[in-house]
Amino acid sequence: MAEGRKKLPEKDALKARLYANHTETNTVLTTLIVNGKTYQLKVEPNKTLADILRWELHLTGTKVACDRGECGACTVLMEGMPILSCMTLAIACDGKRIETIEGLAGPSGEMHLIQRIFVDNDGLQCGFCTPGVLMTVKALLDNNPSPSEAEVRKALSGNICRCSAYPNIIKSTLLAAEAIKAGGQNG
Amino acid sequence: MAREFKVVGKPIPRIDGPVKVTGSCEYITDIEVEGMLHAELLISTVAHANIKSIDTTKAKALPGIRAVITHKEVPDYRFIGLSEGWLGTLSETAHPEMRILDDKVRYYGDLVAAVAADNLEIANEALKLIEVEYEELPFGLDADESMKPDAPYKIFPWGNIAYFVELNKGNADKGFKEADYILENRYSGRRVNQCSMEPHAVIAWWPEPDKVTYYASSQMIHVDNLYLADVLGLPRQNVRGICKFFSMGTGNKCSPFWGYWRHIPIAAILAKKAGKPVRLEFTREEELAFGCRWPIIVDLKAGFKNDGTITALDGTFTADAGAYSTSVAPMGLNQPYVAYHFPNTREKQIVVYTNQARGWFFRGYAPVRLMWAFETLIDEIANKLGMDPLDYRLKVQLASDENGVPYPHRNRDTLIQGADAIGWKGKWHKPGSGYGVKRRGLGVAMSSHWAQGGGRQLPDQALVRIQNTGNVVLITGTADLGQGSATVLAQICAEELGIPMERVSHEYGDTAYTPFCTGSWGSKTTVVLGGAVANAARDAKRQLLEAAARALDTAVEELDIDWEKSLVYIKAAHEKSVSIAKVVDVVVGPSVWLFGTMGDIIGVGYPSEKRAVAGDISATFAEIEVDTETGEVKLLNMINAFNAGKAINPLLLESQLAGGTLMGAGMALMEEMVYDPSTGKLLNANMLNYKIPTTLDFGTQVGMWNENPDPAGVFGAKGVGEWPGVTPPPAIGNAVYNAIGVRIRDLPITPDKILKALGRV
Repeated sequence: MAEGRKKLPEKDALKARLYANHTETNTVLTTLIVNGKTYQLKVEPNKTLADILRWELHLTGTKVACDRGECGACTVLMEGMPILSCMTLAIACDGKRIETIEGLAGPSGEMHLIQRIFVDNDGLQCGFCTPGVLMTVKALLDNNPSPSEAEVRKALSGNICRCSAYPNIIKSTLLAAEAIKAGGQNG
Repeated sequence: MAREFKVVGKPIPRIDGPVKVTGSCEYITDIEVEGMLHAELLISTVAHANIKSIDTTKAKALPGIRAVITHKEVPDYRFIGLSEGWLGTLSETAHPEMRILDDKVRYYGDLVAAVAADNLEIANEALKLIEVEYEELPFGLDADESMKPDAPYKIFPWGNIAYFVELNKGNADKGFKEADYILENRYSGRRVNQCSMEPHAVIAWWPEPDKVTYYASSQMIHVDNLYLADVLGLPRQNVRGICKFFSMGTGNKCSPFWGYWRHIPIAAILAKKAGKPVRLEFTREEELAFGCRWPIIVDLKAGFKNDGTITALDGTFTADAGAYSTSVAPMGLNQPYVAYHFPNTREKQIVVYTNQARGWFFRGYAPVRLMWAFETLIDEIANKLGMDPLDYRLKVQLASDENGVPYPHRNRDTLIQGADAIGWKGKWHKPGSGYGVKRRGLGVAMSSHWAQGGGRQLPDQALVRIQNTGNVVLITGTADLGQGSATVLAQICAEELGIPMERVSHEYGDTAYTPFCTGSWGSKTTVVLGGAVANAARDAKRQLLEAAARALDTAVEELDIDWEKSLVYIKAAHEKSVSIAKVVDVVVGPSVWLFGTMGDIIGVGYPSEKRAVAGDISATFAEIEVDTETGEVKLLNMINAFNAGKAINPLLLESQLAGGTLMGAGMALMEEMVYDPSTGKLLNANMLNYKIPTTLDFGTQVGMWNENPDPAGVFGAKGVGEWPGVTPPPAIGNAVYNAIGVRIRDLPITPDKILKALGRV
């Protein structure tokens, strides 16, 4: 048995998809599971997840502000963890569970507790960074239900807010943590 | 004015909060217009050059390219320099400077051409195929160099100076002779960028051959229309602009007036040529490279006595306009943002060109640059005399204007409270008197302030419709850039009518349906448009009551409105009432030919006559810690103590204070645009290297205010958008001095400057 270079299954699967037989050239069949809904898409390899979410799926809640992974506005969750969708190729998300801001509210459109608390405590101003912030907060509170203020600041340090709404963003996050622990419902 | 408010003064969450936190509203960059093309800009890669030739043949031939334009394909319209019309008096000296696309480039990043294509990849490929032959010219990045008569470069035919004036008051020479001390220093700061999270963006198309419609991320879309009509040679009513949800322009999304919004006419011209809608969005690099706040270059010489009286002041205020002076308003000692009296002054105000990004408005405009200089100077004077800088400020702070008319609204209590909140008396120490690696310091800076344009100086208007159902629609041309104007204006309308907030819906954003508004800038909306809203509501209510009085055969004073039941009734006899629907019939006329009651009462409002009173003062207190080994400055606590008028919405007011404080902190400690001296290229045109504050960059931050109602502002309000950002930089600078005993007069105060000041490098 050959030791040495192991074959990476993901890379192989990707390669297979790249060379698969399609009617259009230059696209890769990709399955994206976004907010619980499964999409089968033919995606150009150079398109980012942000491109596909915004222009293919018309989920424009996710924003692109810098397109270089420097500001956090494009943050979505992949398998529950925050990623920068402007720096993630869509084809690399094949079969992955993606959550965007549009999925935060309940099925009947009722706001998530996090969203309600942000509105009530003015954790936003122009709102452009807000979807990225809220997805980061969701991931934080899902993984760490009782964050300290320092932990909140650290988690949000990759989300730039030019309006500088940070004090209320931090406050809203801490209030949301308390509310969720106190047994608040999703919506 | 002890009036009990029902809606005004309440911390009502912003009405657009839900659509923003759910991602369900479309910002300009989210909008897709069917069939839209994607545009890209070709920018100059030289700092100063004539375009000898430009050949777009190959670019045009690329499949998927639908339109290409250069200076040959745009109108010869030129934007006037300075802020033409700003302060009125400048128009004689202002020159036509900027074309949409020109045959000359004046900074690295200036516009050369534009293409529209089926997608961005094709557009970017086409840019590479445009052949430009530059005749490079000598260039300069230094304002002092530009000013010299023998400067080796000449940016405009009339030279490098856009404006120059010398002003004198009293006798400065005599004043200097009387002084016990003289201090002379330059106060400076780099170019900084507004860096809105959503870049500038526009989608334009022609629904009819002579009508253009566009979406644009803009603070003043109604004014954009005027200028687009001018540039394109269309009647004003043929231009329709739409901007409802957009990400803060903090001045940089203000208008063409000031000649820096060329992407809108470019998109419109491309759309005309291509016969399809055209979308143009600045890349982040372009967003950072195209504009800035003018750098701070203020030379001050002050003479003062042992008791702190300032006997003379000599100032040179240089505005390095960059490549174009559009939007610069020269400012100096004749601007009353300074809270003190200078009896004998001599000053020069100069606006000069350099081959760098030109200025856009940026929150706080010139006062931010001015107050960095003045509040540092005042601090230097206090420290020179061995006085506590807060005591010194309160001692010399203006209680009356120069004609001796007292400022009735100067409220010192807020400043004292701010000082208490930061623990000034207990913590302030002699500068540099700490020990250890980490040194703490306290600083304060004060500024006078007021909002733009009250007193019918800006023609904002409002409409209020009382529908036959008794619901109310407020219609304004406001731009809610995140300050919350959509909410505050609805509150004013609701309060004026005596109805709960939920009954008012606020329509804004589309110039086809909204009355004229000069936009959101200059901290003016609550005072100016708010006044018009109140007037419109009053007008609608008056019509309602007068018609009800006719219907009930009584006098207006006898009536009251029950909005809940949608009727108007006689106070003394509740059962005598008439439905609002019926009243609408009385006003508008019944619908004889159609069954049912229809129509609205329409109230019209123009701005209030009274100008909000000038001259209140506010202050920022900063407590910082300097690490003398690394040079880093840590913000421990910032208190922004603001003399507000009536706080229409305390929740949103608090957000304005926080935003201004931290924006100011960014300018003080980390923001600067860095240019390559050999090419004039902006080197840090990205958000990694152009540093703006994050959650890790501040400690506690408190915005506090007293309500000092202004009798002329609607419900006593004063504008607050900008002033919280004016005093943080000098407060931080003064705190640094307090901590280490060495003065830094150049922003941003970065670790290298601290270490140099301490003699460590």
